Amino acid sequence: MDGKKKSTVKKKGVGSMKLYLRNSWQLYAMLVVPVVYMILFKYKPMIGVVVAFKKFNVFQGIWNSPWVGFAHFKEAFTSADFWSALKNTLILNLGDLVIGFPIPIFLAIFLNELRSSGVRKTTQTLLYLPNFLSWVIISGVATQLLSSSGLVNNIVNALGFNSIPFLSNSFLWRFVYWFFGVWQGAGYSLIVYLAALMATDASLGEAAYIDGATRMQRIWHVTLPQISSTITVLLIMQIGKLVSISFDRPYMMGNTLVKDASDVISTYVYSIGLAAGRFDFATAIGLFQTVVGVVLVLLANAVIKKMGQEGIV
Amino acid sequence: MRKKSLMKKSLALVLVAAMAAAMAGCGGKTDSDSSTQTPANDSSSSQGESSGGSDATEGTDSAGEADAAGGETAAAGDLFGDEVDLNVMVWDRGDAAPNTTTEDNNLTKWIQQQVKEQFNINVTYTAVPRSESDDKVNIMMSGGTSPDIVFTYDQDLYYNYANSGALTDLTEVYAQYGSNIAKYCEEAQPIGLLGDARYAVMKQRGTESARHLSYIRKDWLDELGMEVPKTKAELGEYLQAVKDKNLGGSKTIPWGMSGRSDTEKGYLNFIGSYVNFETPCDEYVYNETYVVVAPGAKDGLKQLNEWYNAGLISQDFPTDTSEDVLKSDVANGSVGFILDDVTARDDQIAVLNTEIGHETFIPVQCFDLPDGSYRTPFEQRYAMFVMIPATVSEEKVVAAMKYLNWMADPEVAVNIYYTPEHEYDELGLPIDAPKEKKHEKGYPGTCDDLSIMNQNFEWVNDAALNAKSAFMNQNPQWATEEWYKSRSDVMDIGKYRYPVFSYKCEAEQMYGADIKTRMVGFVYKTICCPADQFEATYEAGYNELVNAGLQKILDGRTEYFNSQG
Amino acid sequence: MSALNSKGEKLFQLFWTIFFILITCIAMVPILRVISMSFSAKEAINASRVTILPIGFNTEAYVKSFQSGSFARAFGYSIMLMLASTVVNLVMTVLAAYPLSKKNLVGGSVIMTMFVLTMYLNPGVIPEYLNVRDFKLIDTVWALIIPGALSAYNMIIMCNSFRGIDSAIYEAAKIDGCSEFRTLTSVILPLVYPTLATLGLFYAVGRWNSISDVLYYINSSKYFTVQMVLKQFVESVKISVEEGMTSNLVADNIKSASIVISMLPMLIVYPFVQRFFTKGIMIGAVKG
Repeated sequence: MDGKKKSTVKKKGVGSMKLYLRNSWQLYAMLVVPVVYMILFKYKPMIGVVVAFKKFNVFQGIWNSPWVGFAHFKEAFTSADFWSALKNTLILNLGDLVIGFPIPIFLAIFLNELRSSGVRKTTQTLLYLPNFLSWVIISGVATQLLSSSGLVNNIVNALGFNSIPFLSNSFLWRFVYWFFGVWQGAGYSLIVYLAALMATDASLGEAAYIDGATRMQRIWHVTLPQISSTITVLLIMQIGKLVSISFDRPYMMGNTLVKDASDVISTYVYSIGLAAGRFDFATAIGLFQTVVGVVLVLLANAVIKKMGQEGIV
Repeated sequence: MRKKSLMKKSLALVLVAAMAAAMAGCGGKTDSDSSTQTPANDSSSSQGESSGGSDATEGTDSAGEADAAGGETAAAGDLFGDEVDLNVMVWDRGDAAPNTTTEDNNLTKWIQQQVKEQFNINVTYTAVPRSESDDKVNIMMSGGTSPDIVFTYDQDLYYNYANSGALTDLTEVYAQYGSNIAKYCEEAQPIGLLGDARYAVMKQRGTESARHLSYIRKDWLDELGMEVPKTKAELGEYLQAVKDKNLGGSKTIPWGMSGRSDTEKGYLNFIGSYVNFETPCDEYVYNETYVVVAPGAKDGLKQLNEWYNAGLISQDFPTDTSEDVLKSDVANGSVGFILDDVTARDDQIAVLNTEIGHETFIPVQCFDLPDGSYRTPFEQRYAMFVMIPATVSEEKVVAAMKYLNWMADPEVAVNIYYTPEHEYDELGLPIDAPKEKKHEKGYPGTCDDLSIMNQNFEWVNDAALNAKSAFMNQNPQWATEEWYKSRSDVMDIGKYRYPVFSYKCEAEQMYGADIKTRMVGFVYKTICCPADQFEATYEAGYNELVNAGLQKILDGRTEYFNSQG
Repeated sequence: MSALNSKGEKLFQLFWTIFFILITCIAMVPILRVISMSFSAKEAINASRVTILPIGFNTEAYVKSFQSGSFARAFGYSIMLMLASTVVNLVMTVLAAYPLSKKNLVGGSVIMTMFVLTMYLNPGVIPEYLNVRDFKLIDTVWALIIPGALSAYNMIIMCNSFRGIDSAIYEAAKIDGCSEFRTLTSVILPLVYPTLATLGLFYAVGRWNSISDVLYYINSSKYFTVQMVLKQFVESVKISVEEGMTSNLVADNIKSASIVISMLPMLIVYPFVQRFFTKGIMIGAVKG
């Protein structure tokens, strides 16, 4: 009895499995190459992070260098510099999130309301161009514009005010950092949102219009919800990067007087780790960032799903 | 060519046979020592088997003539050995001639041919982008894929490699095959030693130069009826007068500074002049890098702070990290005084001179020490650390040393630096042809990148000749020959070199790089703080440095110096 | 829709048009500066006087850049590399995104999660180098194509775009007896062609601007890309101090010219891609 029952279940399972595979084997076949690639080129090198627990010696290589356990983590976590770097990283990234994240959405919504496709196209093309400039160049421009003898302060002086210390006051400097971040990166997100907007169902907006909704009401209640899935995806991805920060942007934009705001994890790793050839230490911090990033992205994804939205995964 | 090298090879083989017979029974490996006096014995015992040809011939040669070091006396065939492949790092600056590459052009071909003919070495090159050179070397070393010869300017990197066993000990092979290097690049070599062992041979620099130099507006001095200052007090009077009279217009900046956070060039000599080294130990401990925290330096910082607050120094200079503001201030004629790398502001002074129509800035030394004398720190005589990774086979190490030794010969070095087809100017100096000319002949734009041992040509320290040459080659015409001459004269006032050792204490390895950037920040902050907060800022900044490892570094350096007796 | 021609609407259009023109002008400042520098007289550049408009006029920088052997060679090579790597990128992206866009694919969400996490993995430079070395890719063009063959970010966009297609189309293909592969190549891909163009541009831009993999994985200068050659130009002034060299400095206008030249392919390609652009991501954005 038992055996018979089992075998029917098994048979049924095998049958539906067979059917499923007959329909979907090509899908799995397509996935083979990308998955193999992902394992070999994304996950396999992660084995190398063991060096975070070792004292790396160039000559001995990763595998033969001696173990030191959590020494590098301890060093970082007991150093005041690390915590201030982490704090600055979070402040700058949160600022990017609060200021930098909505701006492209805002631009996209109003650009979308424009009827002249010429202005629309030119704007998105030109706004995308700063993406090509490195931070060295952008920081040069920032100095020329914002230093005490720069263009902006010349205007401020001409109006009879004292120069504004954009670049030497930590508080103001953060805004400079965020501003140029938007300047450089907004074009990319703008395109993504604008595209999402083009796809929205125009009839909904028209219906709202006929119902007597104001433009603002229409944007708020009709347009925004329609691109919420795109916003969500970008938001989750950015939240995962809260503790990661590029090296170039804070390093090039910063200067000695605003070190208390511009010293971030990447520059900390550079000065404590890489400049002194301490690759093991740098890897330890990288591992910390990876772990926090993964946790954050999964958390954000879960929270967003709880809120009834669709997450990334 | 081929015939010739075949001849050499067979000659070498005959010699091997002869030597093998003669040396049979000579001592084993234990006999080998690093002394130059006994190369014959040395070579046959330590390497007789692996590369008998070259060793044996070398042995004969030394036995016969005692001095292979002269280079000219030794016939080319003497060092000809078994065929060896050698891969050498070369810097790539993206300036190879059309249809050539950095690793394959007429200059590399010439070198390859010469080296093949003389030593039977097949040289190939690995291009390493100049600006990321250390990163790339580091990663190749870590991956065990580096060329047989690598180099860096970074002493820390060298020290780190040498300490972790990543480099070949060159002591013996240098003693045996490094005669030209020892002869022509002698001044540079001590730093390549770690204790008694040599882990790098050093490229030697050419023209001696001060690290930093100050310039002052001579025309403004005349206008003010002042003499060229000889002391810091006189400098202070000049700066104040410039400010009071607004000689540079409404935006007058008596002392122009910039804010690069990677260098101390803008203030170092000034602050250094407040430091009186009591003992040789102090000189070593505080050598340049740590001079801003040396006893006495605080007074210098205080003076700069006073001047800054009196509006005598560029306001907000730390924000000018790209130097753009300073450059435009100098060229626009609003700056009265600068301290900088020796030739760093030449372009701006040229613009200013051309526009104003007469000479403006002149070199000046006015940073008097407490005893009234001067101290102008000079560049060390060494340039790059040229290293051979530990993974390189013994045979190739010998080949590498032969290669390096060959190009240490000034004649060869000139041929590489100025290309084998170089011409001479009317002063009798080889002409460094412009890039376009080099490209026409298939040479790379920066030929010096292939000459990695010697820049110490016989004329490089003839100040008068160099001034003349600089004057003749300038474009546009912006300074007189006397001006160039006075630059080297002013540099020579109080010419000084800090003592260096090829040693980094553990604390310095750990914290050195970090402390260095922190010290620049410390200086900027103490200069720029309000006068009444100077003491507090100084204290806070100094404590921060100590907490970040400064005291450990200073202690480590002191300990090392004392251990040297 | 006469309301669209109302006075208020006209004012609205006027206001926002001016607003966007202003924003665009501000965004163009650094680019204008680079362009101006490339055309300015040497003296003005040496004196750091150029801000937004060129001072003097001189095209020597462009002539010199084109004459420099490395640059011309690197330019052609970089374009070839960019095209090849973009093709590989797109094929990989489609291969991954299409199956993962099927919500009922067994194991799909696990694989998707793994892909998403790759965005946050950071093994460090040396392990990545060792990995590439282990596959014997060092100093081959493949080292610049394979390690970055797939971006999870773009893959997600692609995936959304597949999900946005009307399910009726999939059903129709199934009824016609199309296999999944046939469905993808002859029915679905033509529909997402615009998305492909869009992602192609993102990939191409990424490949064009990437320097670190060229630095680490390439030893022969014939495989150096334009950006790498450019970087050597741009950095040479800073370096010359260390080396005690004063001659052979590349003037700033040559550097600026090189930057402008390196932006050219993008400036030329962009308007063409843009035609598909908005429509492209549109499909990705509408989620099922």
